[in-house]
Amino acid sequence: MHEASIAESIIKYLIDYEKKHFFKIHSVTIEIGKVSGVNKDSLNFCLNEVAKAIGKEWKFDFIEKPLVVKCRKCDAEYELDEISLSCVKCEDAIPDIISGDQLNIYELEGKEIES
Amino acid sequence: MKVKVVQAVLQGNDKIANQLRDEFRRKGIFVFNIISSPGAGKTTLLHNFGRLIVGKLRAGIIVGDIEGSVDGERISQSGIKTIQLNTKGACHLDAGMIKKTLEEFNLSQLDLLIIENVGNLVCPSDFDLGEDMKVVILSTTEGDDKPKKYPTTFLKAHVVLINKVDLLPFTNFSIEKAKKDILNINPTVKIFEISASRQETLFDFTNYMLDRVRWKKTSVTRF
Repeated sequence: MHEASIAESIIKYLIDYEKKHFFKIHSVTIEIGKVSGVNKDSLNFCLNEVAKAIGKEWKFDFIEKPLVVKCRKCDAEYELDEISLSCVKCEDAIPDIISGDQLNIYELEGKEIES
Repeated sequence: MKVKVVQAVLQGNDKIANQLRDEFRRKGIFVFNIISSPGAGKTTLLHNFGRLIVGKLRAGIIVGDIEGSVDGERISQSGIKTIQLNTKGACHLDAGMIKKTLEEFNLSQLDLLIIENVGNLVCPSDFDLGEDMKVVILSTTEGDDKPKKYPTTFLKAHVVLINKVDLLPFTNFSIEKAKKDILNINPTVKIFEISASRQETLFDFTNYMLDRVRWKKTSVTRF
């Protein structure tokens, strides 16, 4: 259940962002990779609970990034459903992850506050 | 209005971890982080590893658990200074917890710091603690399918200890299959076969780690 502490990190960042940039956040887009090790539904639940607890009406959206790998031997690049123990093309070494392990706060939507 | 920020969520943790890594480098302290499922043998390993290194170098151990001090008390019997860190519910250690616990140690009097993470094969590998190495323990009683089930943990490991090899006759664990899967995931990982309760099976691993401690000590860059 590390989603709870990940949600806490995100919320801390959002609170700091609002203060630092005189910005009122309405919605937040999170980029979440297929093999980021984080469960989207669980993270969404934790984010909403923490936001509610601190009186913020933030909406959370998610962009799910597929797992894209590249073989170290044959250079083939392709999408996979799960981490493979060998390249599906040349059946040799495990391919490197190019995309799909990221977890980013991607975009914030809101309005600037007159200081 | 929309603002594209693209901020890594764990950047806060990584920032503290990098500060710790800098401090460990300045002081020449080698640090390893032990990760495994509950019951894989972390505490038994550290108890016996501690007895092998006590008096040879200045070591400290941080023992992470959700609650209680049973593991910390057991490991401290090895003679190594041990601090119990309770996460009070969190399933992993993070860099902030380590930074706070380090106040209990005199870092200028330390050559080696060992961090025993909370028993969990999923979350701890996501959180950088400023360590030099991640040591993952896989025990034969857990089954040889663990590398396939938790590939990201094995991908980030520098050393894998296959533990409880003395129990092999009573399991259907295949050492060959486990090693093949681990090396497929992570071709550069170093694998040792051990029985943590038998000190004589820990000599190779201990010598390997002592070499790393010496290497870190001699490569100290003072600022």
